[in-house]
Amino acid sequence: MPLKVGDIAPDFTLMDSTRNRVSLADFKGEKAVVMAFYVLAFTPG
Amino acid sequence: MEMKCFRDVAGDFEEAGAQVLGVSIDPFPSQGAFAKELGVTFPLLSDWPQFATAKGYDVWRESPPLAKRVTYVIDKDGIIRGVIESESDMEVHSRDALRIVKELAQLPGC
Repeated sequence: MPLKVGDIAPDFTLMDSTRNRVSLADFKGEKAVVMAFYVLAFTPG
Repeated sequence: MEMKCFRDVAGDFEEAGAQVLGVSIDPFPSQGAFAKELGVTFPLLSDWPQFATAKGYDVWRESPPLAKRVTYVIDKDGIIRGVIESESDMEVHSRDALRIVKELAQLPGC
């Protein structure tokens, strides 16, 4: 089961396509974050 | 397809003060090519090769190995405010996420 509304979002650090690191913590206190998990890029994703 | 929908309303998310992040388990070269092809302005993040984020957010599917199509809306305090799950309706992810971030933007800060 995915996480639920009201849960604390687990922190993460991932790299974007230009290899910049992006963490959830980067946005804390600043912005809401929309995390969209999507299926493999070259499927009809 | 889902990312195209997010791309098309990226400006609306910016106005509502929200950051969109696309996450998949693709390695960097295919992510880069995909980002370029789509012309998205928000980061596409790679959870490859450890898939720790997909597992942490409970969207990991073992066989075949890929991430399920789930969108989370997280407020600026790090609390999940929306979970959108649909494998078939590509537009619902960006539409519902935008509605939730707009609602969040109207809440008084404390």
